[in-house]
Amino acid sequence: MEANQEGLITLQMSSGQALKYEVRDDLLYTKEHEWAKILNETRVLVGITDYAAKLLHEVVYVSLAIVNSEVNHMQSLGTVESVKAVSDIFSPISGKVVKINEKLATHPELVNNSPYDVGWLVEIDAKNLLAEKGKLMSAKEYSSFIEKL
Amino acid sequence: MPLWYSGISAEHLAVRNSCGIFDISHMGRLIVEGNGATEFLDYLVPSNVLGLHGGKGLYTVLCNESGGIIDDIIIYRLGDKFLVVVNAANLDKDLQWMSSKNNFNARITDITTKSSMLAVQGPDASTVLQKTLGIELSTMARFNIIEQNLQIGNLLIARTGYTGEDGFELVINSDRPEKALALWNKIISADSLPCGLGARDTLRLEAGLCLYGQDLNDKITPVGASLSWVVSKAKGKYVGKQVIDSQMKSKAMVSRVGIEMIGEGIPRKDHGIYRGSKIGEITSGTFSPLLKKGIAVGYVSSEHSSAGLEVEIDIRGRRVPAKVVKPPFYDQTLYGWKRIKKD
Repeated sequence: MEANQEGLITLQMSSGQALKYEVRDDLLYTKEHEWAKILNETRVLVGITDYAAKLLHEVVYVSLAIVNSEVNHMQSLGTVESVKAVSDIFSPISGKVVKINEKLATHPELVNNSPYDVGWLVEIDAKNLLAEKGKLMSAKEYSSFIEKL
Repeated sequence: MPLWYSGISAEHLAVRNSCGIFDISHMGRLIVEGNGATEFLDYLVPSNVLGLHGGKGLYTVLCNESGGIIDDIIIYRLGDKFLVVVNAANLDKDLQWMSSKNNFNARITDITTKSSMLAVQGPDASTVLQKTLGIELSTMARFNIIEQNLQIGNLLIARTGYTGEDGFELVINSDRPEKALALWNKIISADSLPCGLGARDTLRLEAGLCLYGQDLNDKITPVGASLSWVVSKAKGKYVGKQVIDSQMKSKAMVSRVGIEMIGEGIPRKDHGIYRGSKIGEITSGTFSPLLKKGIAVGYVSSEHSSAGLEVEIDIRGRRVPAKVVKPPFYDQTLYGWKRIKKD
C-alpha cells in the first residue's frame, strides 16, 4: 500500500544495493545515458548505457524512431519502458536513422542483458559528426559523471 | 524495503508459484483495547466490528464525516483487544483521527516501532512456515489470526496478505529488530525469495487490490470505490453513515474497474480512458509479469464498467486498445488463494 514508482527510478540508489556499471572505453556518452559508437566517418551506432539499463530494470517495451526519419542531437529518438518507469531516449548525434534493432520488438530484455552489443538501438547516418562528437563525453568523463550522481 | 532484491519479475513469479517474503515493518500497527474498544472501532468504520469474533480479522476503511476514505485498514480481534494495521504513510493522520473520535475510553497504543512485520506469501507459504516455526498452519482459515509464544518470541500470525496469494503476515512483538532479522533469514533459508516494493506493487495490482493515495483517497467513498462489500447495511451509527447510506441507495456514478491492454504499452497513473470521448482515468498501472502485458486499475463512469467492454488508453498521446476486466487479472483456477490446491 505504498506510494507508487513511476519515474522514481533513482529510489533504487537508496536500497543499499551495490550495483556495478560497465563503461566502455571505445564509446562516447551523453548526460542522458546514451552511448554512441563511431563506426566510420558517417555511421554511428546508438544505445543506452549499462547504468541506464540497470536503473530502468527489466525493459519490456522499446519504441524507436522509424527508419529514414531525421533525428537531431539530444532530441527524442524513442522511449524505453520498464516495469517501473518510462524513459525517453535522446539521440547523441544528428542524422538519418538507417537501421533499427528489430530484435528488440520481441526481445526487449536484450537492452538489459547486453546494452553495448546485442541490445543496441539504432544506427544513424550522421550529418554533422565532427562538430557533434565534441559535445559528447569520453568514457573517463562519463564514469566520473555517474559516480557523482 | 528496496524496490527489488533479485528482480521484480523473478520475485513476483516466486510469490505466484512458490513463496516470497516481504519486510513490511513500515506498516502502522496499533493496539486498541479497554472497555469501549469494540464500540469505538465499530463507530469508526462502515463494517460490523461488534460481530467480529476473537481470532478473526476484517478488511475495512476509516471514513470521514462525508464518507471519504481516510485509510484502508485491517482490524483483527485478539480476545479483548484489537490489532489495527494501517498504511505507513497514513499512520499519523489515522492516530490523530482516531484520538479525536475516542469518546469511548478506548486505549490506543502505537506499537509500530516496538514490533516488526513480515509477509510470507505464495502457495508454499504454510509449508515454509511449518519448516521455520514448527507449527501447522495449513488448516488455519483465511483472515484468521493466532498468537504464539515461540522460541523466537511472541508472534501474531494472520492468514492475510497483499498479493492475492495464500500467505501469512507475522507481527514480531519485540523492540529488538535483530529478532525479526533472524526470523527473516530463517524463512529465506526455508525456500522463500526476498521480495521488494516493485513486486509488492505488481502483485497487488494483478490481484486488483487498492493502493491508498492512488486508487483510494478522502474524496472517494467506499461506494464510489466499488468497496460496498465492506459496508454493513444493518449497522447503526458510524462516521460517514449518512452519505454512505444515501449512496448505497442510489447507483454509483463511477466504478473502479480493471483494464487489460490489447495493444502494446503500459497504462500508468493519470492516463485517460476513452470510448470516443473520455470516460475515466487510470489510477494505478503496471506491466504484469505473469500475463506479460499492461494492466491497470482506474475509474470510469458506471455505464462503461461492464467486463469485456473495449476502450482506448491514452498512453502519452497514443490511443492504445484495451478492455475492461473484473480483477483479479489472473486465472483463479491457476493462481491466487482460491486456486485448486497443488498436490
